[in-house]
Amino acid sequence: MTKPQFRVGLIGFLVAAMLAAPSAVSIAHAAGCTPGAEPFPLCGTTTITGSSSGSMRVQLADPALLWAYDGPGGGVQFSGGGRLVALVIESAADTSKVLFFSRTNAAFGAVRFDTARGYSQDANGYYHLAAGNYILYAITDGTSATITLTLGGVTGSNSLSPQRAVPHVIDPVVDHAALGGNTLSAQGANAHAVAASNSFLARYLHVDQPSQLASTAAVCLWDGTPPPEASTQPLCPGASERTQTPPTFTSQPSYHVELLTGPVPAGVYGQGGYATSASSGGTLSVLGLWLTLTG
Amino acid sequence: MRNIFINRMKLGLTIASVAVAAVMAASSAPAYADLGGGGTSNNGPLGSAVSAAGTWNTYGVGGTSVDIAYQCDAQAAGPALSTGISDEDGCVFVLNGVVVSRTSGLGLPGNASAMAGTYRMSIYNVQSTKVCWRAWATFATGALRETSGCSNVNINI
Repeated sequence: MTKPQFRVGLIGFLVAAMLAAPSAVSIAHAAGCTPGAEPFPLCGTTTITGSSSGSMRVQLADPALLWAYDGPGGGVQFSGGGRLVALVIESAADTSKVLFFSRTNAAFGAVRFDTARGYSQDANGYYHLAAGNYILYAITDGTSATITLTLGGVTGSNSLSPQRAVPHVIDPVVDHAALGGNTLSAQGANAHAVAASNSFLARYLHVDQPSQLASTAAVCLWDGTPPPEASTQPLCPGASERTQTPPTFTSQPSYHVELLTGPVPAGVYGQGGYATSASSGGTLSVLGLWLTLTG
Repeated sequence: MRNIFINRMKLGLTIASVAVAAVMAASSAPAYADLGGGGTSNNGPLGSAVSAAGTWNTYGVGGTSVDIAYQCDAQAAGPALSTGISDEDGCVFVLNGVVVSRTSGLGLPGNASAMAGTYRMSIYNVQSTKVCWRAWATFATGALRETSGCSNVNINI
């Protein structure tokens, strides 16, 4: 894993008056949105670009709103990034609070999967972010990606780049395996290790099939290395978690399910899945992410 | 008219038994697909783990909206002390990324928990629909395991 390249603006910045919060944590209110040194200011619009995954420390000077709408104009937008691009926002004050945004590319279903831990949307679909420090993790698949983070209640715009590498693996565990034909099922499972306790495991299952076909699929997690049978037999033998889809309807061209498990302790974990179909013409894909939030 | 398709997924030791028939509205209104099906979950013997998933049915009421009934089921493997659907968006119906309907959370002693809700959805300006869940389980070892997920809802109109 290569250290991400980073650019730090050398433009001097003016520091506004220090405001002391009741808890005696002072937050400097910069007159602009120039990055300076970490923690970088989070502005109304923050653009993160790069082809390498990494993290950066940022600061919200004021409380902000993040709109969960995943269409154009929503709070988190992705472009590029290969098979998977993701943005994780972790509260530095409470690392149990995490916002997770991700998107697979068209080959893996163009699925948008967003979830959170310690946060919930308000009635209008906004996440409320308190003023303070956060850690942003930008995950790409070795391909240039742009992540745009738009916050309400904060002004200005800036561009940031990751500062530190983040341990992660993106693995196309099952890459468009053919369904039906001479084999009843397609399946696969791969294992990777996560080295620290604040780790998360994400898996994206996607089935494409022509109309008039029906299939059933499941996406699975193993605590430890999956047995060899997990790559040759359906039903995820030995799995700790198995989330199964029902038989699809004949008019169903595609379906998908995404899961995030964590935080998990350090260890080896397998992710994968299977699909069965009596007729040929469909494909199964399972993409896995093993990610450690290192702060 | 944009076509969106209904899908349904259930996780748990029991197979979903509900299949709500679609109700046809006026002759000029779009038809709704019947739903059915279910799934089972079977966790392995490796101890502390929790699985969860969402299921849904639709029943048509009127020509411009669809009533959604959704449910989230959590199932823990191993000697779970308690299992729950999270209080924070633990079982929700998501429209275009925004939670438009949510249930309260529910923690129960033992290995299972479930919550359900309903939502009346306009068929216009629909780009994506999902059922999403967050579940947790605590174990005699002191471990806390959490999982969250989403699956798409495809409504065939």
